[in-house]
Amino acid sequence: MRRSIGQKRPRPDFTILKAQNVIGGGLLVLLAAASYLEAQRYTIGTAFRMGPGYLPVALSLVLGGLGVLLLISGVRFPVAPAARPAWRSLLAICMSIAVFALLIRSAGLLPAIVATTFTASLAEPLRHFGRICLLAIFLAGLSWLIFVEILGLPISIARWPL
Amino acid sequence: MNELATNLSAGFVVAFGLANLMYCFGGVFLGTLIGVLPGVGSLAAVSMLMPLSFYLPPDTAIIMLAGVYYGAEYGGSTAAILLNLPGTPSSAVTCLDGNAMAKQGRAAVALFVTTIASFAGGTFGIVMLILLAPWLAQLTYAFGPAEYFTMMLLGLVGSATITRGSPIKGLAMVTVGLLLGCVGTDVTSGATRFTFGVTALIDGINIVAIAMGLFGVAEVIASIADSGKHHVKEKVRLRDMLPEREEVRMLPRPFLRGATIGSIFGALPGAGQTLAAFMAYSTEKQISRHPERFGTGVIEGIAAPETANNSAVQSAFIPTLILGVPGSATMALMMGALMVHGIAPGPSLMEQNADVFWGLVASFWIGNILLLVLNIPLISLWVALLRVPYVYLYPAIICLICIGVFSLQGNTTDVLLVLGFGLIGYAMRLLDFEPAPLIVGFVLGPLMEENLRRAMLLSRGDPAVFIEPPISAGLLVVTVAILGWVLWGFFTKRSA
Repeated sequence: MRRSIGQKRPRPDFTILKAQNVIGGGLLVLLAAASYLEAQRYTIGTAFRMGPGYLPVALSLVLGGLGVLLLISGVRFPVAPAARPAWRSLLAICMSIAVFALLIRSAGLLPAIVATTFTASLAEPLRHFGRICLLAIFLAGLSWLIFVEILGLPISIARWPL
Repeated sequence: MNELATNLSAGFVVAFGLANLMYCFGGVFLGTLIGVLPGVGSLAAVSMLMPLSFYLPPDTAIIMLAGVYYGAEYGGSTAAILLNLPGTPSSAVTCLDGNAMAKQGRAAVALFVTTIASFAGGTFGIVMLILLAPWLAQLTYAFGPAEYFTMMLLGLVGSATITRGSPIKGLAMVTVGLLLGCVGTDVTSGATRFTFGVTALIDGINIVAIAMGLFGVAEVIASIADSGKHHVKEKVRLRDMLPEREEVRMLPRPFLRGATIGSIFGALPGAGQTLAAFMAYSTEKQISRHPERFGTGVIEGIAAPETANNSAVQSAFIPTLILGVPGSATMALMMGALMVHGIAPGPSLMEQNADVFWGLVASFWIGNILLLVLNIPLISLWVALLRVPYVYLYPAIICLICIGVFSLQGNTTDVLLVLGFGLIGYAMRLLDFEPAPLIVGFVLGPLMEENLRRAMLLSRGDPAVFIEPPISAGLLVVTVAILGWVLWGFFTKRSA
């Protein structure tokens, strides 16, 4: 079939790779392979005298098999493309949890809660800064009330990192 | 029968004592509040309030702690329905239809049915406790490691079928959960697996971190994008809480089925409670004429698991009190509380401290009534929570998750695990994998492995130990049947 000068060469259809079950099945296979390799480091033993590695190896094989099945079914019967991630929410929430983990020990409860609240609110375009401030203060107070006063959590409320 | 009546009336006298009544109410109230907090479940609630019980007389102490226990279970379901955050692993299955109903604006109905289901389940469990305690105790004897293994296998395979989508994905999630359960120290040999040198992982991954990450964080990330889809009525009146007429007519049977399953599984030491809820849901789905509607907000989808949950809580006391074998960590705490007061649970409890035993049984029923009375008015309060604009609600949820998880062991690794599982959970959502079977696999995995290896060790490597005894063989047959049905359905199905 002759193409005229302006036409581009038809590109192969990669959309199948974005199908839900294809990515899912593929990830499962990867996970299975990774855990199989790790499990090899432990004593496996036999079916009758199982070592610590026996079950992980067996499970990895089962998972790999299921992953392959899913992959094949995803290619044969495409269901839907994988949904697109909401990157901003994802980033904001992950950072807020990381901020909490970072600050709770070093700076104490109140700074951690306040910082977490502000970081989490970055997921939405900043609309009511004043209200977010109020929310942060409210949550800090509430956490203090519930976890430190009522439940007696041994945690410092605020401290200056030296 | 006469003796039973005498014992029960003596028990009610004890339970109706003013101090006991007050502490029962206090326990139920605090338990519910703590149970609603994401990340803090019944175990954490009981352990936090246990020191209070040291200064109380023994019957009051246990009455209060028991109230905390089933109050927290109920609170966990509230969070599951409203926020898709399971307060306890067994409420993970309530998230499926409960949260779906909440998203359709029927949160009040869901909460109301949960309250009624909890009461019904609790009552059924108490009746079982009274009438069948000796028989159920015998059942515990009949279950050796081989039977436990096959029962849990059945539970796993059954859980794979509760997913809306392809059961292959469900099985895959169960397997991933099992693998995650291997992280930590292997009980039988003492070797540490999959810890990669991280000290905090030597004890395994914390179940709360997984649940909060997979359910809570993933839900928040996904919901921010489509916030504004919650329909909530302005003011919730009693009429708004009542389910439709057809739904009410079909409720007694899921209640009964769930309660039966709950009583049986709850009486077996081990992960009986989580398993009870999942099995009840799975059974409802298999029996139903419209299984594909499960997951979209079907009322049997919360009625059965909640009933099972609560009757399992009651029957969990059977092995604890009568055999002295605690079925779960929470039960071990209860036993500890009793022993602090010099009362040894076990076969001699009913003879030597009959008043404690029967007072406790009577207080269960009173506690369940209090739960009902306390929580129905609170439903409108909980539903009002949904009216808060999501932009303010979700930072609150994140903060509560973080601090809730941190409060368990005081180490930041748990919080980072929540982050990691949040990412994984979000990826799972995008790829249409469901987290509930993973939780079941994770909870049951280590137990199954322990029982499997123990059975093999005891039988010196003879696999017939799983096939010969009648209970084990029967369970295996059912498991294989379900597995076969699942695979057959997969291979003959054409995509919709």
